[in-house]
Amino acid sequence: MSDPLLQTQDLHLEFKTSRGTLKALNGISLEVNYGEVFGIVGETGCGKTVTGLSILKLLPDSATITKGEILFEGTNLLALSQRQMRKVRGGLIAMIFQDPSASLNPVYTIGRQMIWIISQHSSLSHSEVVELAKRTLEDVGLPDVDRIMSSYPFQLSGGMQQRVMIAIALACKPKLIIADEPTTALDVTIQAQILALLKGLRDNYNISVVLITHSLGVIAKTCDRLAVLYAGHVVETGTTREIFKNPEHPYTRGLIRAIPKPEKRGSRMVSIPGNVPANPGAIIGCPFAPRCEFAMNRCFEEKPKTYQIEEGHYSACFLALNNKP
Amino acid sequence: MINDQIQPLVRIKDIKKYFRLPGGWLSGDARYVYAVDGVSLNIDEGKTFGLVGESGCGKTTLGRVILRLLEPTAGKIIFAGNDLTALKGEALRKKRVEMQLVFQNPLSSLSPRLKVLDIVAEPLRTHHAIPKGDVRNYVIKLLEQVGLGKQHLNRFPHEMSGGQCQRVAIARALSLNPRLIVLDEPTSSLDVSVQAQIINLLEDLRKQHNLTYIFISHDLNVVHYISNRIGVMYLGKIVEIGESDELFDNPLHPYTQALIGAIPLPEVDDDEELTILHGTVPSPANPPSGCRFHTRCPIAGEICRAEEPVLKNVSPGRWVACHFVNIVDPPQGEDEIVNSIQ
Repeated sequence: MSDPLLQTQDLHLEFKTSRGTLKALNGISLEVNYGEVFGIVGETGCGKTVTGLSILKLLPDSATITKGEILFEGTNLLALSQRQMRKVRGGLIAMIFQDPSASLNPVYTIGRQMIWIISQHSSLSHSEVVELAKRTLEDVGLPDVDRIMSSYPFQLSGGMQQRVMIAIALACKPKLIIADEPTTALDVTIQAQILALLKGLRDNYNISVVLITHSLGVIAKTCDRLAVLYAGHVVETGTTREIFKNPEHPYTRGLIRAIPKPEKRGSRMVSIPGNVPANPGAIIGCPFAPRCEFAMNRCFEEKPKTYQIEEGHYSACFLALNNKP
Repeated sequence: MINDQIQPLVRIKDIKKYFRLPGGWLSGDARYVYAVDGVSLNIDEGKTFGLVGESGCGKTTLGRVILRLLEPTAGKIIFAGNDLTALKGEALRKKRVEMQLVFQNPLSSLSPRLKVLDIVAEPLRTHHAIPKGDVRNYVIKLLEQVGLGKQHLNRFPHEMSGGQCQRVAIARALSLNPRLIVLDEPTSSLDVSVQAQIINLLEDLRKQHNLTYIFISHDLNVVHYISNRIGVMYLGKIVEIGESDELFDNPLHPYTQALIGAIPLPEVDDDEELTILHGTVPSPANPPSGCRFHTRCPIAGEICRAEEPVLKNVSPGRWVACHFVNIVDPPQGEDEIVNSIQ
C-alpha cells in the first residue's frame, strides 16, 4: 500500500474547563488508507468524537491541540489557515453527524441547502448544480427527488434525513468522509440501510470512510480496519477480522465479552468493573490498569508503548510485549 | 398459586390508545395517532416480558398505559386480579405502589435539585410507607442493594456517572416493594461495559424479590438476553409473541425475521449480509390498510392489502399475526389470548 490518505501522529488535545485542564487525547496515532472503511470504537469520553472533530479543526474554543500532526495526503492540516481549511471541509473531507435533524438547517429546503453547499466547492452553473444535487440524492437511494428537493428537513424521516446528509457529503466528491455515530439515532432496520450505503461509498466511489461508533456490531459488519480508543489513548489497532478473532488488549476483550450473546443466556453477563477515568491525562501508567484484571505493578508506573502482535495488529499493553513471538 | 402454575400478574385485554391530533375541531374530522391499537397479552409473575419494535411502534405508550400513566382509549388491564381501568382516586393510588417505572435517561428522570437521599426517599415519604425516623437507614439499605452506599446519600445526580444514576433510579423504583417494574430502555443511554453491570443487577433483584419486569427496548440483543417472553410490535400492533429463544431461533413473522436479520452482530465469521428492509415505518396517524406491515413486507400478497391478519396461536406459547404463517401444531387449551381478543 502506498502512503496513507490520513495520518494522525501523536495527537494530544486539552480542554480548559472550570475545574482545570482535561487531557482528552493523549497521543492518538492512526492511519486511514485509500478506499477503506476505518472504524474508531470506544465508550463515552474516550475521545473518539474529538478525534474526528480535530481532523476538520471544528473544535470548540476551549480545546487546544498541544502536540502532534494531522497529515492529509502529506499536508499537515493543523498548519492550514481557517481560509484554507474551508476548502478542505466539505471539499476534501466531509463529515456526517449523529443527529441529522440537528445538522440540517430547519428553515431552508433540502434543495436550497444542497445547492448552496455544492456551489461553495465548485464552479458549476446553477442548472448544473441542481442537476448534480438531484443525481446525488438518487445515488443515495432517495425516491422522488424533486419532492425531496423542495421539502423541509422536518418533512423527512430520520433515515431519509441521514441519506440527505450523506448526499451532501458525497456531492462535492470528497476523498474522506468522517461519520460520527451516523446510525445511533436510527432504528435497526434503517441502520442496516445506512450501513450498506456507507459501504457503497467505498466500493462505488473509492471514498475512505472513518466510522466513529460505540457499537462493535456496527464495526464488525462495516469496517476493514479499526482502532479501539480508551481514555484518549489508542489501545489496539488492526484489521477487523484480526481484532475480533484475536483481541489482544484486555479492554478490547472486555468490550467484546460485555455484549449480550444469546448462547450465554442464564449466566451472568461479563462486565468491566468500575468506570472510565475522569481525567485520563493525570494517569501515570496504563489508563486501563485500575479496571484491568491482569494489571501488574508495572502497569501503574509506566505507560505501555504500542507493540506489534502481527503485521498490522498493534496493542498498547505489556502483555502483548510478553506474548510476542 | 393454583396447580403449581404460574399465574399471569398482568393481563391486558384489547388495549387501545389513540392520541388526538391538533385541529379538526371546527370541521368535525378529528384525526388520531393510533399508538396502540388492540393489544392483548399476559405477563407471568416473576418473569421478564420483553417488548421490542422500532420508534413509533407504541411500545413506550403501551408500557405507560399498563401503569395507567396514560388513560387507555379502550380495553382492560387486569393487575393481580384487579381491573386497573376501573380503579379511581385513592384506590388507584394505593395500587400504584405495586407498579414502578424506570426511564431511559437517568439524568433527566432524576430531579437535578434533589440529593440521592431525597430522590430515593420521596416515594417512601409520599406514601408514608415507613416511620420518618427509619427513612435514612432504609434508603441506605436500598442503595446497598443496587451496589451503591452511604457515601452517595448526599450527592446530586450530576455528580455521578450515568450508570450510578441508573442505579439510583432502580433503588427508587424498588423503595415501595413493587411487584411489577416497567423498564423503558433502561440501558440505552449507557456504555456497553456499564450496561452489562446494570443487566446483572436487574437479574439479581428480580430473583431476590420475585419481581416481574416489562422490559422495553429497541436493542434486540439485550431483550433476547434478559427476557423470558418477547412481544414484537409494529405500528401499534403485536405481530408476534413467543419464548425468547424460540422467537430468535425461528422467527415466523416477516417483520421479526427482518428485525433480527438487521442486528449487526459483533462477529466476523459469517459473511452474511444484514437483512435490508426497504422503506420506512409508515405514520401511525395513517396506518396502511390490511396488514400494517404490507408496505415493507417481502412476501406481501393481495390478501395482505385487504385484510388484517389476526394473532393466531401457531404452537404452544407462540402467536403470530401473518396471513402466510400456517398453523403447524395447533395447541389445545391455550386459547386465552384468542378469547380475550374477541
